[in-house]
Amino acid sequence: MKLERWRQVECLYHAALEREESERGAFLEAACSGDPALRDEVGSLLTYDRRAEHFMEVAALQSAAKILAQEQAQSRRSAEANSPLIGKTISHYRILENLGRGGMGVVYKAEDIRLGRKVALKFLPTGLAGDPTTMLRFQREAQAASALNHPHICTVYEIDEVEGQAFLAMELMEGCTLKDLITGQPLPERRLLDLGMEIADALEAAHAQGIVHRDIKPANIFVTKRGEAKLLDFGLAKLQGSGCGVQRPGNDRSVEGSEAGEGVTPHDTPSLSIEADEISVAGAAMGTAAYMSPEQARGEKVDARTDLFSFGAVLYEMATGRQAFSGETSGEIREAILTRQPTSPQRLNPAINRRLQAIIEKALQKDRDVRYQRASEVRADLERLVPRQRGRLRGTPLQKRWLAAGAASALVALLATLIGLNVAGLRDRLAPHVGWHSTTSAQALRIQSIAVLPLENLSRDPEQEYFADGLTDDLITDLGKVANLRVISRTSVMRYKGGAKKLLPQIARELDVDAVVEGTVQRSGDRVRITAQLLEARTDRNLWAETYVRDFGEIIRLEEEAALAIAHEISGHLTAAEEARLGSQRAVNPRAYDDYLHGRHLWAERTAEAAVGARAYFEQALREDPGFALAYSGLADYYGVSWLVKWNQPLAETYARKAVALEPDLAEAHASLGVTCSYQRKFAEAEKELKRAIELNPNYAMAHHWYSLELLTLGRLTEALAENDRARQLDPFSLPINFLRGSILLSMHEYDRAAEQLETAAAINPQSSLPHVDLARIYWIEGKVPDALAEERKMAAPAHLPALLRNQEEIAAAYAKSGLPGAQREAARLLDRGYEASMREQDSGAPAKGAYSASYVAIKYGLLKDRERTLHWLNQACHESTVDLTDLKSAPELDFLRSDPRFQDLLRRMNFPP
Amino acid sequence: MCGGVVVTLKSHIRQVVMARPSAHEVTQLLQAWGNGDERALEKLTPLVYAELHQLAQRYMAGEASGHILQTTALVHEVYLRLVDFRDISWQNRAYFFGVCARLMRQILVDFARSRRRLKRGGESPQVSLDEALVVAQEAPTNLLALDEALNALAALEPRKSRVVELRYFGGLSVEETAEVLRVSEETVLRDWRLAKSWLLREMSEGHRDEA
Repeated sequence: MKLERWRQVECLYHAALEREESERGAFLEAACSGDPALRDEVGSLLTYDRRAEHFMEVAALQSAAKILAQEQAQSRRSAEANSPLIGKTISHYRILENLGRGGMGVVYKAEDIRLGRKVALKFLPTGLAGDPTTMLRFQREAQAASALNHPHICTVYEIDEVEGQAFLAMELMEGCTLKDLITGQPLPERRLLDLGMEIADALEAAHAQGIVHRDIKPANIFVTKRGEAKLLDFGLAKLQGSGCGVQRPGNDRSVEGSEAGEGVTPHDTPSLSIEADEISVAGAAMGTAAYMSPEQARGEKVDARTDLFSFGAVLYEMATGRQAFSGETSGEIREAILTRQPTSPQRLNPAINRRLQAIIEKALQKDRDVRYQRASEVRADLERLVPRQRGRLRGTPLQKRWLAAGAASALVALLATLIGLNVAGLRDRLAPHVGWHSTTSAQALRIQSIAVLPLENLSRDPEQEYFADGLTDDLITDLGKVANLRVISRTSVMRYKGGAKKLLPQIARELDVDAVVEGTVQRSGDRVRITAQLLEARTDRNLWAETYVRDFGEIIRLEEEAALAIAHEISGHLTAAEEARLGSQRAVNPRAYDDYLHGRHLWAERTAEAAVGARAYFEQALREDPGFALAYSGLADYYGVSWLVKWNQPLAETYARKAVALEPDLAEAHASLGVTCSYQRKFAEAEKELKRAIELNPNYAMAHHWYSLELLTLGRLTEALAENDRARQLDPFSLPINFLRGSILLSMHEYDRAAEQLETAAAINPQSSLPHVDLARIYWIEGKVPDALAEERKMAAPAHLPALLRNQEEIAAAYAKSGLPGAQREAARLLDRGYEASMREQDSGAPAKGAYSASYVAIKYGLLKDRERTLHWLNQACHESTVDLTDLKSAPELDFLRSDPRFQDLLRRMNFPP
Repeated sequence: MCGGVVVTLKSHIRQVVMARPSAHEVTQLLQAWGNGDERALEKLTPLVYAELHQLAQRYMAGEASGHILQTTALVHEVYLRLVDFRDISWQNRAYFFGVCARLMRQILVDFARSRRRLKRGGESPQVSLDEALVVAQEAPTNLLALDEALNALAALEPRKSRVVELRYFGGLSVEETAEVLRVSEETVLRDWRLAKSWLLREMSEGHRDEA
């Protein structure tokens, strides 16, 4: 071929590769029109492109080494086949018969002449026994495992070496390995559970002594004729790992044989023993390919959890008959172990219990911190699947009808497990941990407070952010329904979303919680994948982890599963009422729910624009599902609570009542109704509704907050402060809750504490004007004019109404000259004007901040002790359906008026109880 | 029970004190061979063979227990033991990489040739190991056929043949290959991809007669 022609081929070849496979034919056809030979040449090369993907992947030196290894293995095997050993006596063992090749060498049945007992003798590959220190370490380890005298660990009697040939004498067992037992078929579940628990027991015993097996696989698990599992070859993998690079000339028949004629005699072989360790570290990550843990595959240090991963792969194979990780080449297997999730066991074996699947998935977690931490945990989880006389739970389907959305159900299942952990079975489950961490007392591990950190959105699509946040919200809400468990609210956990990650113990300190849930959400189309883990906050230790993969619309199966999971986990631990509450929720259609999550996500941003967007989503949700109570509660909060939009309490009340009617046990609905009643000064009903909300969900921070607000309005300051404490514990970083605390303290005339608290609130969101309003009030009351002015400026600076900014400054200037009657009047005039401007803004429908409400102006006049004007503006406020009359009964500025009958009459007219 | 261990230890000590050519000597041998001195090859071959046996040994140990060998970096290790690259000036590094790759090709193809003779000599060919090694089975490339195909490729375009020699026989990374050939890494990757397809086709079609 001419060079020019070759260049053409090359060019077209690469150009074609840049195109989709399906388009290449057409591309070539067009590019080579009139030159079919060129087209055929490039086309034929392209057909080889894919096949050549793994071609020459392994370096030539290794290919050659492999050929050599194959030859050597062959000659060794033929040597073994007509073994001269049978009938011979080695050390004090008479060899009786060949039992076959074991996991790591030939195994013979032999008789211990000294003790007269039958044993199994396993000869180790010659290459292994090389290094004396490694050998010693292996001996120590194998014997340490043996010394456990565990019923499910094969006993090693002796390890010796005769004429350079290392061997083990061990317990002679009848049966076969698990590998022979599985043979591509799943084991019956009961069999699997029994064997699994025995293996877990054996591992737990070994790990407790600091012995890691490193090579758990079906071929290393013996199943006796009586059906008991026995773990083989403790310590061997370690020998393998560190000693295999060492060559020992002179005793390897096959090496000598095959290299005759190649000009290399054994003593020509250069010694590399010094480098042996380096070699095995740098070049060879050892471990049985298909059962190797990710850390082994990466050549990292192993620990007990490594065995648990391999054990998970064994469980997987027992459950499905297939290897969890497979591939054409070792490289592919490694790749699979490091990056791929094995096919879901249930897809391979539909009969498999979902909970067993969850156990397997947890054991196979690639990150060992997320995996099971101890064999005893696996055992406990397996044991729970063993059928017992639990007819009530297993036999009767739950009466409740679950009309759950996919994601919601997955969440319920997750939640159920969490609850099982936190409240109910926690102590039992954690009992083993106590032994593990001797310094931890069982008491200390009881989880009484928890924070759900924002679930991380792993979907590429940032649009899915709301979905992750929504699920976080839901998890918070649902966990909140468990009494005696304090669950931190959304606003306080959202600050840990994304960004610079703080260390868990620090987060836990800031939120004052015992445990933290964190996880990820990935949604692609209709599939939702949720991972979650529960971490002990103080120590960052993983207590539990789970992955859920679900179809968004997969409803029926999930109902059953979620119901079962809950029933299983909480049996006997949750009260009937709690169980009912958990079960009764979420009668929703998935799309409506989706819209609702969107809406709440926006509402939580607390900006005017977002609030309007939120309303649109709530309305959209109601179009999808006109009977969706949560969406009505969302709308009620939009109209009744948000200070960013124009209040519409009657509308808020309508929506809240609708929500309550649709779902009488929905805490959100009662809280929404309660707060709007409170703002409308229907105090009795407000109190009833808010208390009901708290009863339904003691962890709903806003219910506590609004109740605290109601109590402040009523002048019940001590109670208000206590209720605020409860809200603040649940939602320590909430601006409104922290602000309200400052207001309560202000009403209590505790100015220093109030100021400090308001500074804290201001720090939470420097953009908010609210804390500065009350700070200014305090400084005016205390006569600290410069401080008050500074606060007035801060209050004005971020305001949404720039038109008022100047007025605000003028007022401040007027007050600065306070003491002069004329100036006071001037200030009053400005105040009146400011109020009017504010009202005009509100009437035009623009977002308003409540600072210039009639009551605000009244307070200012109160500060000036202008009795008539104060009363005038209070009367005005009385007709206004504004919401900031919350401290009328206790505002220090109005103290001078309290004995005035006109003021008392006003309070009566405003529905205040005497 | 520890008697055997002592014996093992002694044999190790014996190994350690045994002489082998120094890295400096190897460098000189390589240089000589690179300059056309065929006798140097006779001295170099045993060194490479020793490495080969070392590797095979590790395969064996892995095979016996179903363990596998991590394949990356091995060839580099061998080089590092053969040649002390610190001895070699930076300008000469690329040259030595090239010589090493060529040396590997020659020795390994000779090795494959000798195996084939061995097979024809009557020993039953052992193509694959038993199930224990199945997981680690990358079908060994037919080195003889590859060598021939590579010669054909060199006739068409020498650079692509060199890329294969450096990468496959020399175990060089893309970056190193680019350095030796003084081309961009992008070019190396494109050459490598086309060469693989071309060689595989050449080998497949060339082997039709035998099949």
